[in-house]
Amino acid sequence: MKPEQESGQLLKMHDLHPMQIKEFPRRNIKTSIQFQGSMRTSLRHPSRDFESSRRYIHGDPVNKIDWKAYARNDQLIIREKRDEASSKTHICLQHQESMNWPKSLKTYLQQQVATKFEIAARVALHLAHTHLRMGDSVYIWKVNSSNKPQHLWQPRSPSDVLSAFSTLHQQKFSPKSLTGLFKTNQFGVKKSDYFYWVGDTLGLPKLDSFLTIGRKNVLFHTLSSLELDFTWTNDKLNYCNDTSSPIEFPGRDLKENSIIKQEISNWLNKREQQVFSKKGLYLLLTESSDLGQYLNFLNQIAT
Amino acid sequence: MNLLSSIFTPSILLIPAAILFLISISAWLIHRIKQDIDILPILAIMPHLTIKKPRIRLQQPPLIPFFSFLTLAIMAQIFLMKPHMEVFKPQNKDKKSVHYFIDLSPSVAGSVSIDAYIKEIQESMTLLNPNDSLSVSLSDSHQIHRVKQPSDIDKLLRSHGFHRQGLDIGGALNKQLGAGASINKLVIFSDQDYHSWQRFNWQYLENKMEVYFYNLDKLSENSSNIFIGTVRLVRQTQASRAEWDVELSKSGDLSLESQGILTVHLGQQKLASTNWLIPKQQNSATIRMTWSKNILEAHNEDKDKTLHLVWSIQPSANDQIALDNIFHSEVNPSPPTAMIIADTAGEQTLEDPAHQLQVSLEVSGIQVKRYDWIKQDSLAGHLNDPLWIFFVGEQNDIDSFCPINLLKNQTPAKKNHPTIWLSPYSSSKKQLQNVCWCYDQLSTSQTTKLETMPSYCSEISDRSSFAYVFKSLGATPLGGHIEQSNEAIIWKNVKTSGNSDILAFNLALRPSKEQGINHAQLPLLIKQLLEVEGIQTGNDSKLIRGYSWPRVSYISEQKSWLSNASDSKPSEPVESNVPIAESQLKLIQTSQLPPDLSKWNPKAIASDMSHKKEQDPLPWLKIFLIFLISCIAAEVIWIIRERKNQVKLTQTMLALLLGSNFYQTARSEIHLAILSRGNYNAQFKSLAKSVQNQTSISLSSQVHNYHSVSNTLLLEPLIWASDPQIIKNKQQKMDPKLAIWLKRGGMLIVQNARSLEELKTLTSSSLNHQRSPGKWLAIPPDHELMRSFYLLEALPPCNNHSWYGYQFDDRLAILALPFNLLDTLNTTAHSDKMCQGPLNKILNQRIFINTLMTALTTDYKKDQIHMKEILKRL
Repeated sequence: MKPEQESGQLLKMHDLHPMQIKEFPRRNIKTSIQFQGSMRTSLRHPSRDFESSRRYIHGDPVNKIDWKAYARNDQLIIREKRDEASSKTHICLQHQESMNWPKSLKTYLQQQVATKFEIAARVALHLAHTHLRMGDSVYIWKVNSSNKPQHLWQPRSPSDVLSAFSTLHQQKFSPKSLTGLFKTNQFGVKKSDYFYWVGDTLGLPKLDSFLTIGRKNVLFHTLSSLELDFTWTNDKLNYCNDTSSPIEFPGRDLKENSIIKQEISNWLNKREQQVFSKKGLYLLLTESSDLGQYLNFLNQIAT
Repeated sequence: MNLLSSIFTPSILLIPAAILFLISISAWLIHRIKQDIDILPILAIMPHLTIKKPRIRLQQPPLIPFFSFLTLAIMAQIFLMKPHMEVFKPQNKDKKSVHYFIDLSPSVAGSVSIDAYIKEIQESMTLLNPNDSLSVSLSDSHQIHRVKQPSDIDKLLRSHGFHRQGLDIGGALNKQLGAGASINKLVIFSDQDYHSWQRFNWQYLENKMEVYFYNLDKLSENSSNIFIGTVRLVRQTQASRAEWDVELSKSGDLSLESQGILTVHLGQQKLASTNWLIPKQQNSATIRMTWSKNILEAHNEDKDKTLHLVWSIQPSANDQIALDNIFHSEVNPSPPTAMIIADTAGEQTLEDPAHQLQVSLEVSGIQVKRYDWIKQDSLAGHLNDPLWIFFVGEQNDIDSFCPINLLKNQTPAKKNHPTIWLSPYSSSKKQLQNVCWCYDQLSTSQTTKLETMPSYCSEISDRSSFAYVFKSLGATPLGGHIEQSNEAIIWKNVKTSGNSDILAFNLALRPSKEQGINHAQLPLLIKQLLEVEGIQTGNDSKLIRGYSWPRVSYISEQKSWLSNASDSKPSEPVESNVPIAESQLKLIQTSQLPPDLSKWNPKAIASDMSHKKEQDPLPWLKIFLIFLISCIAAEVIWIIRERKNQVKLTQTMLALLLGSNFYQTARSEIHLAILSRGNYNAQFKSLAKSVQNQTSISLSSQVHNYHSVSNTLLLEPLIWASDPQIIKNKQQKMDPKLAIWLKRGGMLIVQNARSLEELKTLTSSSLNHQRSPGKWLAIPPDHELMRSFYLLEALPPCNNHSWYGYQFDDRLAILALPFNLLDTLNTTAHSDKMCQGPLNKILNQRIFINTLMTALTTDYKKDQIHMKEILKRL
């Protein structure tokens, strides 16, 4: 996977892959080079525990190679060790029906448009992979229509994330493809180092309570670009939301009525302000957002 | 066909409507189904938006209105889909009912004898089926007779006989059969008389029954009729003999000459008889008959009003009419005369009011005899005349112009007092006094004659004092205004028993420009006067001339038809003559008549045709209406019960509804405040109207009048002072309050200000502004007053006094006009003739409007197109 350019086109969010290397800049993190972890720590000598071993990947620090193992079986093995400086990262991935849009859309769209879940899953797995690579422990929570996360998946290594991603990719990011990984768990998280919310936040009135969990709270507001611009709508069709009491809107109104556009823009602003008021970070992502923009945003998180 | 049935013809109009309804419902459904709904999750964020499309929800409808609606819809379906045009049904032979309508009017009587008539009807009866039921009605009664045998017809017709009234078949049938008649066949036995059939729309009846016509004309061989048109008493007759002119008319075939005998009867007594002859190709002849008056006078004494002259003609030929030959007239029509006593006018005939009056009376049908003076002997023959007219001159002897002696010498047995008119030749003082004198003598019926004029009569100097005196004499005015009875021309005494009606004129009734009567109006005036006096009204008229054909009303309109108990024949009017319409034998075209049984096929009477049935939509409509009303009521109840929480909405709706009813446009009005010693009230209607028409200012026609400078006056923005004196106080200076008002921004207009010095002294002391002292200046041509609404070229001066304006505080504070503008604008007031010169009303109005505009807006055109530079270019 090449991170930058492919055939002269800028990469978009629907091209995001967990292997997109993005290490958080470490210059502000007071950890020794041999220690892993993305969090700033005050420990001068952090303890080191054996965490796992894996094959050497190009770019891994050479000093992590288990030379004894190499001597034994002539293979480059990396001994990954966790130290106490590693951070806890919680990622909430919204997984309700609305996230599966626009796959359910009956309109005759000219091209296949990535669903909101696909983007959210790509972001979540990328974040998980990045943090795991940095030695952090990652918890991925699946949020259904109910407000509270109910299912947890804890990937132990970046390879877990990669295999999950390949499964998803094979199954065209069907929401069901991840069900095997998640196990029912009560969401009792009170504190975390990183807290990411990935989703469209629709039907989520109590977002505020989550944005105080982490020391860094980030909302990746994943929407479809079709939700922000209604020029694609069909005049003859009506549209409704998927709530319990759906309300119909005529297609013509969606296209022409500036009140609706204004309403959406207000809502986005409101979400942003909501996050900012909790000193969190906010990024609006659609499938057509620039990948570079996302990666740059990750820099902001680390600083 | 009635109106309802043509409107509610369902097959044509309502089936397409139903189809349209179905199409629209299905189109709507298809539209709904086709409008696929896609999910757009982000729309969840805007549940409160009002543009959302309402969701269609299935709701339980309110029971009563829904039930009513459902019933209504079903009713509508049943009603609308049911054809209610006439449907031919197989006829039940047993129940077939046939009705004969038998015409007994004079036109039939003239052509058919009763025997032939009966025979014809009886023959037609033999053709009927034995099961048919036959009913018969006659044209002279509203009764319907059930006839079982032919002999019944004979009995019926002979008992009734022909009648003298004309017949309107349609009206008679309508009365007889009414709406609820269940007749299958109607056979009308009549002739082709135009006037009988004229108003009968038999085509309408065809929806209910078969209508046939049995023509009786084939029975008559001749087609001419001779009848009496007019009888007249000849005026210039010998005293001992009565002479009457009888005009005989002939209608129909004129190719042969006709002759016969004309006789006159009074009761049983034969007065006279004579032969008559109507030559070939002539349709009338006048026959004179005379007989001794003595016979008549004997009857006059009886005062038997039921006795009439009966004129009858007997044609010598057999083919003439049998019945239409009798004519009634009154025995002794009194001669219509009036008496005028007036001086001869010599050659000035046209100027003579008596002559003009005489002509007018003659036009009104009254024969007039004029005498030059009152002479007992010559007037003896006129004692019975209903109208005596005396023209009163300037004589001093009352006997020469007043008929006191005439009235005294009247026989006490005479009941009818004549109406006496007293008229002057002109409205001179002496003549009016004489009229008063005579009136006084006649009306008070004093036994002793006053040789000198009463003092109150000698006080009369003109018409108004005449009216005053006559009022005090107890006379009532005829005509004139209710409020202004002084203008009345004629004064009438309040008639006490034994007195004549006396009408006193205060000017001569003759065509003249001053009196506003032209030659055409005078006869009408006289006629009205005669009617008011009862000399020439209706049946009690004292002036009856000869007799023409009376207009006998149609039989269906006779009173006896309207009364309840009328099995018998209607009582024949005493003077009933055969209506001229019937006598003229005008025939209607055969194409306008129902199928003629007599010519076409007499057996059709018994034909077995199907009959039609008409369905009446009215009951359906009534049920429809009841359901509709119940629907609305139920709906209202439901709304009240279900929506009682929405009181506010209801209140708002009610308020809006009421508000719309009591809506009134807000208007601002300008009142003209006038400071004057006089009163200008209610004199500015036309001015206010023209100002409203020409500008957007609504000027009130009500003027605020002030007599001195007061606090309420100073609340007005514009004061119109009638002259400079009125704004001065005792020190000959301007009222200090007024000066303050002017400083505050008021505008004062002073009329009749002709001295600049006077104005200067007015303002010099009181209106001194230190920064910008005011100045009196002649109004320059570019002043705002000259262009505030209309572009004026100059303000009209008056006797070399021009218009001055007091420029104060950069505005026009006082405007001084040299004349009275308000009076010139005022339509009723007389304008100042000194200053009228070039003035005209339009210019005055324009000046007034410009003044108003200047007062209201100062110089609002200053920065617009009327800038000096632009004006110069114009």
